Amino acid sequence: MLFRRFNDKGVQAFAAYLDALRADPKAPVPTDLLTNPRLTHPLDPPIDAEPQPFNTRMDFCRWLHDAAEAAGTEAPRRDAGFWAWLTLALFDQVCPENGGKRKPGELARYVPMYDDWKRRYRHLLATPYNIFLIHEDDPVRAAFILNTPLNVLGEITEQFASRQELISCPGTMALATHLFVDPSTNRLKAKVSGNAPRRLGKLLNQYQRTWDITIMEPPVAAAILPREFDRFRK
Amino acid sequence: MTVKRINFTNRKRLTREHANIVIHPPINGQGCATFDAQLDLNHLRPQADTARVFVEAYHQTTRMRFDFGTVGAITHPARAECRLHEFHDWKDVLFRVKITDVQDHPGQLLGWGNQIRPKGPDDMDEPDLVRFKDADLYGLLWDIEYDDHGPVVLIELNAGGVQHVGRDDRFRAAVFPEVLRRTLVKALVEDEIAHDDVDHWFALWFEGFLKPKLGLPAPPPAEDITRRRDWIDNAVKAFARHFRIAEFWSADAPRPAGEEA
Repeated sequence: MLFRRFNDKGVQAFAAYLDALRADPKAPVPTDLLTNPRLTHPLDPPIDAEPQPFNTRMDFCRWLHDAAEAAGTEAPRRDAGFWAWLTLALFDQVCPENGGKRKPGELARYVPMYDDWKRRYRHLLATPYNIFLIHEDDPVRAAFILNTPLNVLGEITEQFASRQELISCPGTMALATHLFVDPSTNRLKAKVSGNAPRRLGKLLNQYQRTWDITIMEPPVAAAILPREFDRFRK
Repeated sequence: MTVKRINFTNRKRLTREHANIVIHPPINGQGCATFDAQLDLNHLRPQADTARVFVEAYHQTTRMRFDFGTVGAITHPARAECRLHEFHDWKDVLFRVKITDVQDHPGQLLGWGNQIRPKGPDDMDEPDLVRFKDADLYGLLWDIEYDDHGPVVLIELNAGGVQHVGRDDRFRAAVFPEVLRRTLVKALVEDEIAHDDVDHWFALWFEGFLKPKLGLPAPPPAEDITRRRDWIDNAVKAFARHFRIAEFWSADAPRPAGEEA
């Protein structure tokens, strides 16, 4: 599959399909849009990769990263038209069918909204890929975000992705992975839900002014958290 | 109701006097910007001598971290290691400086300066003392003339003039020491001014730059020209050391094979 990007009309056509899908959850995916020369343009330089089933965002990010590297270039990470096109190309994984029906979320999950600071980090593909690139030297430290399915944004991703200081700090990311990921399964612990990610995000915002979490080993940093995090320290 | 902020941590706030950052834009738009951190952490000594010193450059989700040794033994990474290559535009970059305890409470911040907006080379102190002017120099790249306010560096307009040549870091690195030398020779040897002549432009150079920035003592009396020449030599060397002139060139020099930037 040679990657392309939507032009403005292409983005509008994709958004129109999402509207139609909300009205008719069985509306077929308009794959013809992907190669329509009036709605799309090829990437320059070209990137080529065959889609495959991605168990996690990490798998997707590695796939895209490898494809771009093989092409001797970088994925156009700030190109909303590219991300919208790729979302449609992988739509079965980004918005999977359940009982023959799809249930799309808000538009920002499928078309990046870079001009809206409240929604710019909600894209289901662009956001994890940016996080992957930030931690390219050791993506495993972002496992609490990247070892999750492609079709779910999740509270924990929202809490961190919306805070630039946290998402870019190796120490806070390693700490969150230490707390929230079960090392035996590499998946989120069952009890990670609700208030904990929100509380951790807020606490780390404060703690970064008192502690240099980057140089602290995750268990040491975890020890300074209040008792409400005891259940995650185990 | 206003909320009073109380610092319970004894963390010291670092001001620009303690942590000043000077950024060096890429030369002629090529390559990437570098920076210098001018750190004066004496107020933290000796209690925090073992604490680590980190300088972080950041913009949005991009951050780069640089190790500057300890409070008791600050080490400046070579200019080549202070390249801001991860940033799309160096003009966006802010800095923070962290003084991190590694002994009693490992990880605790003992000092911090945040949102430090770097100075550009145009903000450095010496250009206030040196003026630049485009000129037709008939084959010379640069020359120098003097008026009542001090030296004026002339730059051949056909070579790019002040806008291009004069703002080139490498040009400045090569030329500024010689500008300083000629200027001091002009004032102290040719004009034989008294070292305490407050009406001469040299007084501004000495009180505003040579003494506070380079730590130079007053020049010898006018009668002792030999010692004045020695004093000038020392001043030029101190200038080169202070601004790490040679590294303006080594930063972009080819590196040995296999060595990462």
